[in-house]
Amino acid sequence: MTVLSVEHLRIALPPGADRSHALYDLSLQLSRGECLCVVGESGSGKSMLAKALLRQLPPPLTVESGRLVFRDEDLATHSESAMRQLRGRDISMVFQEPMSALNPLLRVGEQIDETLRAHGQTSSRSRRQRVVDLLGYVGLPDPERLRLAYPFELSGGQRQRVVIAMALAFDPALLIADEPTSALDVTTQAQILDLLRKIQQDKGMALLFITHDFAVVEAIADRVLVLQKGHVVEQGSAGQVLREPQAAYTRQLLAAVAAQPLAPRTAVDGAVVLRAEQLSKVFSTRAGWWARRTTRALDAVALQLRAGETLGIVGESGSGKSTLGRCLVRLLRADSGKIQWLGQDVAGLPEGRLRPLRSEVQMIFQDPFASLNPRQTVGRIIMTGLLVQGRSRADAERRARELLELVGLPATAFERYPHEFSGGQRQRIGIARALAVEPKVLIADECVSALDALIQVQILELLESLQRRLKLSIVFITHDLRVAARLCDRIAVMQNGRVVEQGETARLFADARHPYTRALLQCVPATAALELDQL
Amino acid sequence: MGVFRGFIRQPAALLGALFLLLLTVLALAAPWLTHSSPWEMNTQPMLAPFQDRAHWLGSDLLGRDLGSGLLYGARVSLAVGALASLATLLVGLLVGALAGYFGGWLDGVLMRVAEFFQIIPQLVLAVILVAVLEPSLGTIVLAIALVAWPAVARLVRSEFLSLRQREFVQAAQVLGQSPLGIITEQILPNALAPLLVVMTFVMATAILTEAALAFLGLGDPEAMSWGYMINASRGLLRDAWWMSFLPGLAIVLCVLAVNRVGEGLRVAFEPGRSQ
Repeated sequence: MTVLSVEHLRIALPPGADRSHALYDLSLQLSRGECLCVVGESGSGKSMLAKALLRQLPPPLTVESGRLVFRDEDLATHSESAMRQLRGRDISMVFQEPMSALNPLLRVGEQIDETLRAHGQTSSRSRRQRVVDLLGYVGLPDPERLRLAYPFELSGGQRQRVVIAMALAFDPALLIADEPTSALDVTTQAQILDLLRKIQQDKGMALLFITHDFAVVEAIADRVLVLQKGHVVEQGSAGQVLREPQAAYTRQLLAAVAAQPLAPRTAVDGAVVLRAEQLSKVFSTRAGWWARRTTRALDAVALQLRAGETLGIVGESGSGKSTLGRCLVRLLRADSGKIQWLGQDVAGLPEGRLRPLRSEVQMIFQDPFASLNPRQTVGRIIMTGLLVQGRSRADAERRARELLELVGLPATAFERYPHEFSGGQRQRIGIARALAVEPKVLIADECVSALDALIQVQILELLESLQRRLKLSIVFITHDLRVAARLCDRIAVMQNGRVVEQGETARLFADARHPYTRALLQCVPATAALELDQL
Repeated sequence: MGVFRGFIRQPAALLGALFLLLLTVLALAAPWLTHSSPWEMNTQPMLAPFQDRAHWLGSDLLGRDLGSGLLYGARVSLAVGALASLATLLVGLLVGALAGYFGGWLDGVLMRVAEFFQIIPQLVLAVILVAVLEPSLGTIVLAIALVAWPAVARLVRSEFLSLRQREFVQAAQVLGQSPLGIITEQILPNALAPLLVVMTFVMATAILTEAALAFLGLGDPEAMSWGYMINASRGLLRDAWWMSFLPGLAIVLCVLAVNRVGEGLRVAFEPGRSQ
């Protein structure tokens, strides 16, 4: 039975946007008990589809033409109050960021209760029973107690379970999930996907799942629809699209997420350029009058990096990997332990004496938007390090222009401001800024995780070629094993501030010894893992 | 440029700015616009406005020309407003930047000092300071700056605290830029917008405080000011209302204009508006 049918949907964008329509002529059918994944990069129009279905398009966008048919009824004929009845009852939505989907000031039980009440459940006893049932159903422990918790008391995965419970309040016929796992760690992501899959089969819901990630598609989709800049480029069963993609764009996307090295790695046995021993860092916050709550962010971490080598640091959020990166560039001071840059101890050096050495070790940051000063031109940003080193202005400018070319940006970028560039281009600017002072070591902290898959590959390729040409050594911090596998000679896996396993990339994928590494590997999609086995 | 366009699109803000500009020109040209010093008793006392062409705003109790007084008063008000906000900015910026950038015990000490100034009612503190230091333009500016700096310091500190954590500031630190370089090149340009807005409000408060001090008889005895004019004529409020009303109106309009300019700047700097 067809639950949802979209026919020739067109959504116009306001004049002056980068294209004329958010969606051009999109048609799809979704049956009971089926999961359709809509895949696309940011800006492909995939979220607009969800918003159009719920009639929540941000003004001035409107549906220009096409029909949205839900259970044989044209949604366009519904009044606003009829739509309100539909939302949350027959069509539910799960959002990307559970923290902002929940009201921080209300207990989670009350929020689900609110949905029930809004749709006319008057008996408070039966509502309460339903809340407890729902929370139990989505796999939350001790629902009687958890009902009274506030969102901030829950973990990211638990919050997303609450949001799902809220969406399930009336057993909707159609569940729309917009990137529901993108903000979660990989192991949590796998659990949430399992849950959605189970619920969907259990209740026979139709699931419209919007994502950018083929790993997720593989885990959950029955059918797949690939969107590129508002056009449908491919639609078919999951098996067919993933194994035998027809469109070139789909093939590109799939290649972008494969966990295989970008280029064959040559064995390195250069000198050690970066070494850390027994590195520890404890964060403590005051809890009450005398008590202090302490978190061991780094616990006796030891690692070394040879010239020309790439070391991956992989772990989930809270594993201490970013703290490690910040300690290694001395943005943070470790509590104890040794750090050596090119053989020189720097762990205890005061900032003033460290400054002349800073050019040896540079950092590339995660957020391409926050990492560039919005009030400086790109040229000025790249010249900062050179001017600090005392180079003349003309000299610095010449070098900055060379760097722009090196990272593949047009020469005209020099006079422009960061906000005129896309995320990938901004990341190139960040790389140029770091390379300006000719560092030996680069520390890249999640430097591609904010980018689309195809752009990710471009940036990784850039890093790889720069590494070969400039003999760089890279510490590559990431939460994504697939990305690490593309660039890293060795990988260190971190959990709770400790390095739990460290080894050659291929060895780690083939024969992980620590249970946590194995758990992480299980979350890598089968297609990607397969290719690595063949190494 | 976006900020400028966002500003002139607001009628109230633009009018405020034009009024202040006009007032500044009038104040600067006061010696050429009037025939006499504002202290000179050159006509009959308590002349109502529009009675005498030579003194069309009337005269006060002692026969001093009110129009001349208002123009010279504008000089004092604007000078005190500008100098006091400049002095406030200097102290507030220095203290706030140090506290926000370096944090730790320095932050603790500086903020406790700021709180020490904040817990005393501002006008009371200003009155005591001026009374102790002999009233003059310099001491009035000093007193106003001393009571106003903690608010500016706190704003600068909070801006610095949040900008300090931004990745581009950390990138500059990793590149080896010195703290002074980071503060002036990376942080300050990004903190300028809210700072500018607060400075206009500091200026409005400074003008009011100066008027209040002069009203209490603590103004510079050498300078004719609006507060002094109100004070001198307050006993005759019923017989010659215009003598207090005109300088009062001048204060209201001037402060209102400064406030509208500040509000206009705030709206113009708002993200999204300026693009």
